[in-house]
Amino acid sequence: MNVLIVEDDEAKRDQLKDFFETQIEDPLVNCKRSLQGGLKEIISGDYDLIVLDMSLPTYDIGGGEDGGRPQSYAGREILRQMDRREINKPVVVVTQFDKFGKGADSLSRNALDDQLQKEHKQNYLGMVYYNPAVEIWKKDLIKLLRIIYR
Amino acid sequence: MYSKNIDSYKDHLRNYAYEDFLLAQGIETPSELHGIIDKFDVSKVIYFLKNICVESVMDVSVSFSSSKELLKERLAVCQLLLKIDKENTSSHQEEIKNISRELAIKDRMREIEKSKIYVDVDSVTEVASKSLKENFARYMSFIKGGISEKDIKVRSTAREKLGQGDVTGLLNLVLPENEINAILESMVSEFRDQFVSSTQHGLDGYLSTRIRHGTLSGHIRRPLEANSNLITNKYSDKGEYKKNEYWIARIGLTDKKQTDRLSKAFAEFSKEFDDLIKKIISEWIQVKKSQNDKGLIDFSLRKYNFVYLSSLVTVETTFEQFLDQLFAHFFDILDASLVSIRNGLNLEIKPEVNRLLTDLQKDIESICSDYDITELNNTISRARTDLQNSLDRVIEWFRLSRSTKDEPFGVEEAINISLASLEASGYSITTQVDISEEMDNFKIQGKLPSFVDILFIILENVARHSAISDTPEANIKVKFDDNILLFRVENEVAASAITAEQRNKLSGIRKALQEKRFLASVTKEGGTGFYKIQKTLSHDFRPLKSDFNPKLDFDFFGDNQFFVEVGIPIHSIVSVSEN
Repeated sequence: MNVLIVEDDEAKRDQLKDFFETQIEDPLVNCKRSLQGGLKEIISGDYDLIVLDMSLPTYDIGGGEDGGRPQSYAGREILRQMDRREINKPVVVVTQFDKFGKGADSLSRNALDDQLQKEHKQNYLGMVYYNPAVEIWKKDLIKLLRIIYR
Repeated sequence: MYSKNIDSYKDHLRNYAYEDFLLAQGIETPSELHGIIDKFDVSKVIYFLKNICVESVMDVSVSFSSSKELLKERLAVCQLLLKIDKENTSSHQEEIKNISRELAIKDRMREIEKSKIYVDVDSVTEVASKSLKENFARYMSFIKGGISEKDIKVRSTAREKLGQGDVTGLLNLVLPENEINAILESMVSEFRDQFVSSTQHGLDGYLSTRIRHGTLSGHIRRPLEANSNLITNKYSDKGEYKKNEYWIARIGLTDKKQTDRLSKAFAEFSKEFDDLIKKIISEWIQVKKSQNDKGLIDFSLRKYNFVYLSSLVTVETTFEQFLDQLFAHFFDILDASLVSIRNGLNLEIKPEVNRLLTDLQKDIESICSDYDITELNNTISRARTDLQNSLDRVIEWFRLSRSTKDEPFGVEEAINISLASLEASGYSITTQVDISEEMDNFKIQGKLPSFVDILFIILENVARHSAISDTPEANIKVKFDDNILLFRVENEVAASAITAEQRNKLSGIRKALQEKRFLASVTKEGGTGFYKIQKTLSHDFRPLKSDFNPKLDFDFFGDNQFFVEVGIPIHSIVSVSEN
């Protein structure tokens, strides 16, 4: 199974990579670190599952690049762009935040999950809350993965 | 209109409309419209370019791969607007100027970050040429006159082992103890001392000024300070950490026991975090010259160093070639040391800061279980990622960059880059800058890092020592004064910071500078900023003509002001006139 993880937090990215490499059959796991990095890879690649962080920098940070505009809803943007391009691959969002955006633009995790369920019925599987201190996120991810294997 | 007057929920539709329009014209970027503008109503094109082709819309397009590319495209859009929107020439010119400045600062910041690891090769060469030439001549007379069988065997075996890539074999070789090898050892040790620990031009002085003296700590602490308020400072150098009043208030804790427990958790976190930074500075980014020294920058000389160097010298080796061999060898040692530091930061520090944040989060969840801590949890999550990025940036400092750009720069640029460096290190000040008109076409070639070294220390002092509770302000004036390029920085100081102790401390520093007793302090941190400035002035800007010397002056003045004045002889700068 080809899995793409789009995640800028290195420790979380490594944990997710380890998880998928041990939990799924014939894993081929690739990682990207930004909205644009992830989007370009989704457009050019062929993945069976896409795992998105919600908040991401626009560009890969490093080598003099500061990442550009931090995007609180980068995961949602990627889902929308996939719709636009008719890329209908299963998507899971794994986030360590309870709240996104600022002011009038802000949404709770549950409200965002609802919104994504409505907007992306075809391919959005669900949202998993990631807390590095506890491993419940792994069980939650396994539950969502079972949807793909049905 | 929806976006401006209702909410931003449909902004993505506007962004996609931008992309679809360009696609329909067969182009990828808005600046490419210049070839087909006549197809459209020019007022609509102007609106499109001015209001839609902005970074926050264009950055969803896959046509750009970096924020620099994005900025350059916006610059191209503004240049196109300059041609077609004559009514608003001055606002387009202003935006072009701002973007050009931002791009230049990004480039220069990269240059500054690449220069953190630095050895003044020209000065080391100059000094080594004087101190080693005689000994080299003696050494070569031995080599040419004939050396012992043992010496020949070791050298030829070393060459053989090198050719085979047999490192273990090389490490087992030892030069015989005799006069020729004693001369070699003495030359190599002397060169090592100049390369590494000369307070004027050696590696350690630059490590202290550019990394250890506040910059590293500021960079790593930054994600936990300003917007996160996760870390506090101590009341005094050896005192306790201040209470985290911010989060106690935000969470709304009222119970004294809970408040005390939360304060303790934050204080422990702050201490452990700062201890980690202290470890990096005092145990890792230090030069090791003997087995007992601490430091990952290991220049302790072992037998194989001399064996290796001896194998490179033949009867035809010139002194210049010998110096090249020494430089190559010591840069290789430095390279290897930098790998150790990068690995340490990646494999030890990054997981450790993650652990500290995870433990803090666990403590907070247990102490504040009946409070809403969503905001705090989110802040810790954001800080975790930002901290990784800060560490990644710091890790990149520890790479050897042999070439540096030498593009001319103006005084205003040097000030802007110093301010950007200050901000990147987590300090915040405002500035009023007054540069005399005669500098308008004055550009300087080379020595940008040295200018930034000086300005950074002065401005960091304003941020750290003015004791102003709001953002301190620095007034920077630059002008020519006779044959001196004069910088004067003034700032307000809180009355509480102007004590007899402070005045005495400044007097002591001025005296040490006058008596030239400052070089030993250049590689130390803590109260050594003015010594570092003086060292940079007297070494990097040493005058070609002896009648004009660099100048450094500083003191309190008026009721509550402080000034620093730095004068750089124009003859010590290569200036490029811009016509």
